[in-house]
Amino acid sequence: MGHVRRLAETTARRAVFCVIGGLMFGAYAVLVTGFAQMLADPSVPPVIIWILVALAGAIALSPPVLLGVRTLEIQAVRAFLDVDLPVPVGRVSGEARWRGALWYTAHLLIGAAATMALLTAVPLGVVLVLRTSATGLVMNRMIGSFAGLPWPLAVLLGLVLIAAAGAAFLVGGALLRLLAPRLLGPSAAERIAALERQARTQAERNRLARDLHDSVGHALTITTLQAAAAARALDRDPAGGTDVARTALSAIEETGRAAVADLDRVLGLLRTDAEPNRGRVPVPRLTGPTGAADLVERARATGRDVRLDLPRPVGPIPLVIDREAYAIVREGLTNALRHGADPVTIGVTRGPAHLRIVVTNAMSTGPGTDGGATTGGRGLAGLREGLTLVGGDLRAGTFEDAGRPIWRLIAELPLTDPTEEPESD
Amino acid sequence: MTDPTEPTRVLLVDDEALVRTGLRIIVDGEDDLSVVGEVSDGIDVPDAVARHAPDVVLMDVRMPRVNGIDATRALVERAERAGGGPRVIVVTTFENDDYVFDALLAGASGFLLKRARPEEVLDAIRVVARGESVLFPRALRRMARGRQSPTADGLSGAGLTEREGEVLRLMAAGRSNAEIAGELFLGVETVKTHVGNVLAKLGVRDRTQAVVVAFTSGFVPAE
Repeated sequence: MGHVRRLAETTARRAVFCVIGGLMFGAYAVLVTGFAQMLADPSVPPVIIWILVALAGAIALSPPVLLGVRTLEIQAVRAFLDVDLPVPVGRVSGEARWRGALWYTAHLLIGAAATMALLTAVPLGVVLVLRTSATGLVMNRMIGSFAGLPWPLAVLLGLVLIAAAGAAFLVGGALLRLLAPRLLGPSAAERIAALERQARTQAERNRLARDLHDSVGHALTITTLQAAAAARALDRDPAGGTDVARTALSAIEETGRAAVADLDRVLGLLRTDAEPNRGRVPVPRLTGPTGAADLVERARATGRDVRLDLPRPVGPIPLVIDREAYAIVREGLTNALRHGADPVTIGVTRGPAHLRIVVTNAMSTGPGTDGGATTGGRGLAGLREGLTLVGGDLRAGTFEDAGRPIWRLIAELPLTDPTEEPESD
Repeated sequence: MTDPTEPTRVLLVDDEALVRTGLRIIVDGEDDLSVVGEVSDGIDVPDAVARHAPDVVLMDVRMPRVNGIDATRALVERAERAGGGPRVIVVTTFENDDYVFDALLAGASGFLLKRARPEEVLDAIRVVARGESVLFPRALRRMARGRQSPTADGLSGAGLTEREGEVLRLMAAGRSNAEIAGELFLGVETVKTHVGNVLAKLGVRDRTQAVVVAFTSGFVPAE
C-alpha cells in the first residue's frame, strides 16, 4: 500500500505543478483571445488596440526573465517535482536568466497540455461510465461518436480516459523533471562561485583551527614543560624541590584555566559560524558520501572535462586527514576550473604511509591567464596551513607533459594520526 | 670547543617566563650544564651574549620585538666575524613550524621542541655543544623537502672530494664522527679532518649547517 500512496501523492504534487503552469498559460490565452476579438471588432480603432497589445505584451513577457520568478520556480521545482536544485545565491549570469525564461515557457506549455488533457479526458471518461449505468441521464451529444459503443467497451474506455488524465501529469511531470536541471540548474559561473564560497568558509575555519592550535598548543607546551621541570626538581631533591614543584603546579593550573577559556572562545566562534546548518551538514570528507566524486560530478556539470581516479575502497584514513584531503581536492579543482584548461585530472593514490593527491590541468592559452599558477591566492595558502596542521606537504607548479605545459598540484598527507608522538632520532 | 671540566654555559631566550623557568629547572639540575642568563626578547641577545659568554643559546622563535630567526642571524654573523661564539638551538612549540627551517638557514645548529622530554633537552644541548653530530636528521630532511634552492646544482661547484662527499652524506644521515669512522674504515681524527674540510669548502660553521646545505642544494635528496 505504501508505494501506491506514494505514487498518488507524487502524482498529486506533479499535477499541482502542471496545473499552475496550465493556469498561467490560461492567463496568456485569455489575453491573446481578448486582443484577437478586439482586433476582429471593426468599431475599435486598431491603433489603440496595438498600443494596448504592446503594453500588455511588455507586462506579460517580463515574468520569464525576472530573477525572482526563476528563484520561485526553483523553489517550486524542489517542492513539487523533487529535483534537488541549488537555490541561487548572489549574482546570476545572463545565460542562466535566458535558460530560466525557457523553463518558464516549458512549464506553461507542458502544464497547459497536461491541464487540457485533464479538462477533456476526465469529463469524457465520466460521461462514458455514467451513460451506461443511467441511460438518458447524460447527453449523448457530448460523447459524439462514442455514443454507439457497446457498454462494456464504453466503461473500459471511460476508465482508461480518467487514468490517462493522471498519466498525463506523471508524463508532464517527468518531462519537466528532465528539463529542470538543464534549464534551472546553476550556470558554470554559479557553480564555481558556490565552490569558492565553500572554500572561503573552509579557509576561515582553518584560520580558527590554527588559532586554536596556537593557543591551546602553547598552553599545553607550557604545562608539559612545567610538569617535567617539577618532576625533575622533586627527583633531585625531594625536600627542597617542593617549593619549585608548588610554583610549577600553580603555573600549570593558571595556564590550563586560560587555555580552556580560549577554547570556549574559539569554539563559540565556530558554533556561530555553523549555526544555520548545525547538526545537519557533516563536514565533507574525501571518502564520504558527498566526497570527491560529488565534487567532480558538480564540476562536470559545468561542462568541463574532469576525470577522477580514486581507488575504491581507499581503505581506512584518519578522519582529520580525510577532511583535509577533501579540502585539497576541492581547492585544487576550483583553481583548475578558474585558471586552467581541460582536461582536469584528479588522482588519489595510497602509499604505505601517505595519501597522495595530484590535481593536473592543461594550461589556458588565452591572454591574461596563467594556467592556474595563481599561487598567491588565499586558496593555496589556506591549504598549506591546513596541511601543516596535519603534517602534510604541498607542492604546485608547471610541468611538461608531452611537450605541453601543465599545471600540477601535489599534496601528500600522512596516513598516521597527526597527534601522535613526534620522531626523535 | 668546551672545556670538559667547566660546565657548558647556557643562555635562555624566550618571551614566556614560564618556559624560561621550566628550562632553567631542567638545565640547572645538571652538573655539566649551567644557565648563565635569561632574556625575554631577541633584541637583548647581543648584550646577554657579551655579558655571559654562553656556549649554547636556547632561542625561542616568535618574540615580540626581534624574533629568533633575526636574532640567530645576527648572532651567527657576529660569531663568524669574531671567529667563535655560541651555538644556537631554536626552541619551538610546533614541529611543523616553517620558521624552524628559516632559523636553521639563518645559522642555528639545531632545534628542539618545547614539549621534548627533559633528557632530550639535555642531550640536545650536549650534542650541539660538542658539535659532533646533527640533531634530528630525519626531521631536518623533512623540513628541507620542497625548500630546495632553485639553482640546486648538487654542490658541483664546491669541489668536494669523493671521500668528503661520502662523509657529508653520512653527516646528513645523522652519524657521529665515530660512526662515520666505523662505516668508512677510517680513524676518527681522519674523519674530523674530512668534516673540517667539508665545512670549509661549504663555507659553513657547523655540521648542521653543512647538512642543511646538503639538502637544499640537492646534494642529498630530501624527497
